[in-house]
Amino acid sequence: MAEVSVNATPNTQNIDLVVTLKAPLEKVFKAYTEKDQLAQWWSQGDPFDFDYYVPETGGKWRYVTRDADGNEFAFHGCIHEVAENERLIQTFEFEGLPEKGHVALERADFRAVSDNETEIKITSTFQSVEDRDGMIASGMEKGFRASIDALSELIEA
Amino acid sequence: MVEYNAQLDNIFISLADPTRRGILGRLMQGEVLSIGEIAKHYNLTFAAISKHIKVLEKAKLVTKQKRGLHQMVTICPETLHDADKYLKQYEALWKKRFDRLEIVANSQE
Repeated sequence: MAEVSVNATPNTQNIDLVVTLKAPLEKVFKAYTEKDQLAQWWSQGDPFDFDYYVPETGGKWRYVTRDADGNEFAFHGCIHEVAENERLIQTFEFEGLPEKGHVALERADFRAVSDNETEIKITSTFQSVEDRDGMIASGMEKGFRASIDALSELIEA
Repeated sequence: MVEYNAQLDNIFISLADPTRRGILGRLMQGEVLSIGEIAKHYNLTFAAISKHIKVLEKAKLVTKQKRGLHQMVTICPETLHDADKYLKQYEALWKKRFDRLEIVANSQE
């Protein structure tokens, strides 16, 4: 099972996520950036559709999910850079927010730890601490992770 | 993708604010404090602290009882533990996602 490490230092704008997978770098990068493969692992079981996914420097993506009650949630972004087997830099915006423009920047770095191990480090940078915490309030997955620190701090105190 | 849950939303709105985290931290030490006593620790008016307490109350993180003229505030630790449990489940969900990614990657020709 993949070991995921999450770091969301209170009062910063970042959420960092690091995982090491038992698979070769080239294959992990492909699974991460090819539409059909991405859809297979990203979806958590709810119906999930890409409107478009253009994994290239200057590309873009948009997808919509539907929960059990039929509510739709749409996300989109632009792909700033695809450096094969090295990194993927893109923006990320949840379309359901009442105000436009709360865009996060996501940088994923890929590194071969060995022939059959790949480390992925994902850094999400929000425009402000409020934006990051706003993600928490909106219940988005990245936001959930941001609150883990605050919560465990309180519980362990 | 979106794990929408109004109760958790309220908890995270509560936790997103440093003053409210501070108040919770104080109350977690087992003390029952009046709003006035809490306000003394912050450079904020009684009304401002009252508002923060209302947010915490809505998230069911604290309860308020009248004791004479004072409103006494008590923490509800089980709410935090419920949220923590949920978050752990959520972390497991992310692990599952990466496990799937691993399988997808390894099933390539």
